[in-house]
Amino acid sequence: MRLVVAGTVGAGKSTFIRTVSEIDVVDTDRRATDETAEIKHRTTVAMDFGRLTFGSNMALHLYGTPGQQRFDFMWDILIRKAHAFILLVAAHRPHEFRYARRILSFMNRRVQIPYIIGITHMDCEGAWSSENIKLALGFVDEQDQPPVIVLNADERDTVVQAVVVLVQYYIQSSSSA
Amino acid sequence: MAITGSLSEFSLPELFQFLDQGQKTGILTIRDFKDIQTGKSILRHIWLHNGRVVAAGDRLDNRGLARLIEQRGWINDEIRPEVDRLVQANVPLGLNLKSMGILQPDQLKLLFSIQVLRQVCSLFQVESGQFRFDAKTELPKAEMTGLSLPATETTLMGLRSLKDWKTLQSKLPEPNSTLFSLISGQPSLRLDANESQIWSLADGSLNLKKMSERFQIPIEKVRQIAFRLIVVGLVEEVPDIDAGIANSADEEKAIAADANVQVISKSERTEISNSFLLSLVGFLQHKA
Repeated sequence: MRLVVAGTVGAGKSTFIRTVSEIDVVDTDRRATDETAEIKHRTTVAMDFGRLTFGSNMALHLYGTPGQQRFDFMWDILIRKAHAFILLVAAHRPHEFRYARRILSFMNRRVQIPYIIGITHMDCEGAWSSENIKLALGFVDEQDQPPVIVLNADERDTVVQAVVVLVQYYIQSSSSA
Repeated sequence: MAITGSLSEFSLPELFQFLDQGQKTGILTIRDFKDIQTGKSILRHIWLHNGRVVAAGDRLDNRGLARLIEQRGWINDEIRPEVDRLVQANVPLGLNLKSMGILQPDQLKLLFSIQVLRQVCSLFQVESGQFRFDAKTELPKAEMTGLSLPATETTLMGLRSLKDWKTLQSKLPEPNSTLFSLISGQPSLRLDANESQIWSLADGSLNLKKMSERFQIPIEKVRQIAFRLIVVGLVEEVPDIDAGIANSADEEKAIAADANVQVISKSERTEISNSFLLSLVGFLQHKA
């Protein structure tokens, strides 16, 4: 099964995969040299890859997209074969909400696969509430919204819980399709 | 909980879209201690009811609207005590004055235009500043004409007259993005000629750069028009990304029932068995 972890710069995509993967994450992180350097020292330029094996020939593959817009062609490559995705949004960076919405629009126009919203950095100063973030991402209709989960990409328990929610949502969506 | 932030991070058009879509009620305060353009400090209060702008002003003493009416000479000494009494009433002042025949509907419209539209539209020029939105604040009836306008329509009016787009530059859609309609049928908003042109191609068929070429409108202007359509909730921006992956026979794109949706066929991804999924969930819940 292939899951994609998408999201804005610094939302915690690489950390998310690193936290849950059983192998050393295959990353393409490079030193940030543009405005991203103000947020973090290193940034993903192609993708991150992590894996979880749970039986003979059974594995979950996790792919992380680059957060920066100039590498957005990778969204297309990674999402084509994904079974589901999680969009990570940093709650304390409202200026990124529009970009998160852009990622979401692209993914939903390109593929119709289950997805959930993962909200990170909820403990940071200036963090928006989940309800307001959903609204800022364009989810107006209460009846037509993906699951939303608050997580800390550094904490294994919350990351695993997010993956469980995504897989369960996949099961639910597949059975109702 | 109040929502606070900087307009340089979450712009006024985005804020109005958020308040409109969320049908928020409360008071939005914009404060800029020194506006870069004018060198003056700015303080504005905008009251909203269910996502509609109902009043605006630079004071919280409930005398803003009464002062405006007085400045126009529509209150004389004879009716001043009556107006002072109505300021304390729990009904929009404008409506009370209209029902008493002191003000006519056209006068109320003019007051709303001066009090709300002029003041709010000028805020789109503000380059920096802080905002704070407090929900569920009691609305100041003394400042209300009784008229209102959806926040996004206020945005549309404000952005149409905006000359300097420097502040919003980073928010504009990319030249290689396409637009998709978010509504069925035609918009209830009255669009101008250029907006209608761009709207007519909100089906993902052309990106903004190509629209610019087709309509002979400079790309910057097309991006501004597209931004207007986005923040009033008519369209969404979808990046026109083609990674250049060749389509093999088993990778044919399915044509979705909705012709506007370009969906990758299921055959591109392997089927997953139920036993796999249940094993995975069990593993994650107990061992991971």
